[in-house]
Amino acid sequence: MSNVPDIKYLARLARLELTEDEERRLQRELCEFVELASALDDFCESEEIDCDVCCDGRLREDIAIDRTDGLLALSPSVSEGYVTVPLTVKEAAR
Amino acid sequence: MDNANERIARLSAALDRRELCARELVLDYLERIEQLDGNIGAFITVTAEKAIADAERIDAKRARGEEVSALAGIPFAVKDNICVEGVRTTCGSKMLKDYISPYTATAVQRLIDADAILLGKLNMDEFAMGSATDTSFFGVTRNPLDTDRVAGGSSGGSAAAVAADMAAFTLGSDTGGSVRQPAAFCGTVGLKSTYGAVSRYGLVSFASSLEQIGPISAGVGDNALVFGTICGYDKMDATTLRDFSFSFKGDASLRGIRIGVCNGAGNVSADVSHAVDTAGEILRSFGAKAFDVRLPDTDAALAAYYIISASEASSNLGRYDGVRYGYRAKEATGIDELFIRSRTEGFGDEVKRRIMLGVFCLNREGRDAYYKKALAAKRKISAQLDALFDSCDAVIAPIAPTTAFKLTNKKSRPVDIYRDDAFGVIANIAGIPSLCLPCGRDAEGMPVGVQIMGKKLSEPLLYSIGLALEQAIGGRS
Repeated sequence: MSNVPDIKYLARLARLELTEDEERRLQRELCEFVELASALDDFCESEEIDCDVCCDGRLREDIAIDRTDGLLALSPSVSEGYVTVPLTVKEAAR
Repeated sequence: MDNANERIARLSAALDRRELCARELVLDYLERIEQLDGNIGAFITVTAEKAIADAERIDAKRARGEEVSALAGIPFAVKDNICVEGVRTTCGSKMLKDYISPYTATAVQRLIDADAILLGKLNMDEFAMGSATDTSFFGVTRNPLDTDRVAGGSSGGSAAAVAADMAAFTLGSDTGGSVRQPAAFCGTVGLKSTYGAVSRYGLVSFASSLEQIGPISAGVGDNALVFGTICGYDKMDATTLRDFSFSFKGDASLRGIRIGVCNGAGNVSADVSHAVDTAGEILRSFGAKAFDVRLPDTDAALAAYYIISASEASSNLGRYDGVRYGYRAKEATGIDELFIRSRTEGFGDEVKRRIMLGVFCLNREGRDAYYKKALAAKRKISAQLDALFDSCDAVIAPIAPTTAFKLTNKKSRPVDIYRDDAFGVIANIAGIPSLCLPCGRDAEGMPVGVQIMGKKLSEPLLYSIGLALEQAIGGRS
């Protein structure tokens, strides 16, 4: 069982930037949580763990609603009818 | 303004008799919010203009002699993670502080269709993560019965608004006790229904497999009336139950009903334990058979709950990246930096902790060690509860280990705070209904809440038991 969380790695997965103080604090808190989670060790000892979920959910009917203007209005940055983000691809140097 | 348990019924009767009109009632409530909420902090947004306009429309409807529902003209408010078109939905977070919802949640729409009048949106722990309404970006919600104490959480604003009579009733959301614990702390009545009984469409997702929207009210009858309005199948939420129907007349006999009593002795305060025992004795006097039972392993339920809810939260909150909506960090120079800085600056400490925990439980190593085990535990606990409900019709238990604590007495270690949710999470883990109502006062005069759990779809029975207890104990009054 993994019980020493690699905080830097987890923060990268969570897309969060942590200060050194926050890393130390979260390291301690996750270790404390591991202790809390150990209650499952005995409880599930004889339980067969099967995560295959049989989904009986019904997909709702697709309804196309043109809310483009409303959705664009929610975005923090819009230009010429598009949501804008910082430059992601730079032209390769020739 | 009255403090009686059946607030909606009394107001509705007064409206029907033309003793007051909806406009007057709404203005009374808005004035009360203005006077009281500065010291309580229950509301994030007040929709005064719209509420007055709606009240005038409903008064005109009554004046024309049109038939109206029992909720027509009754002012209500909703937790700020439930969407209302054109109104801010912040989830108590900087991340969504300016987000205006483009659509209305089904539960709210059903109340609006019944001519209930929305007064505004209520404070909550950020993204419903917390149990004291003290992680909100908009500040803490204080308990109206003693403003040095917490209102509970995460639906603290919803419970406080009802307790202070700043709304006739409210909606909250319950992922692991978040309707019932604040209801208990503020001396109000709260329901977490059978999973799938109430549509989650328009509820901002935290832990989708566990949460339900639920009513908070002054009394049991009011609660049943609101639940009856918001429940039922919704084509917009595939998890709603197709054949769910609800009716409650309040005249069912409890003679012969089997009540399991779990007073939590050793894990809860003497006041809480005593309140559960008292509830058992009262029900015995109504002809029920009350006997001691043991709940499934609450430590395992708690661990499973936190693993599953954090895992789902880390996935659900992945959508907040500063691109399509929500907070965007300034001056990010690349897309990765934009994501990371927007999330780092937009989320508070508790939300970051839960996301990290969820990522930990779902990563390559954690998935087998934690997540899969938690799912197995969830199934085992559900099976154990099914077996328990073969021997009894309902179980009375604590919802929290203490009554509302002082703001200055909050525990410092997150895991110690999480442990206080042990009794609340069981109903969410098993998907069963649980009704929480006040059952006496502690030595310091604060209300003590108890929960009544039953098997799936047993809401009418829970309301019957709750009504009997309320009539015997006197509820809020």
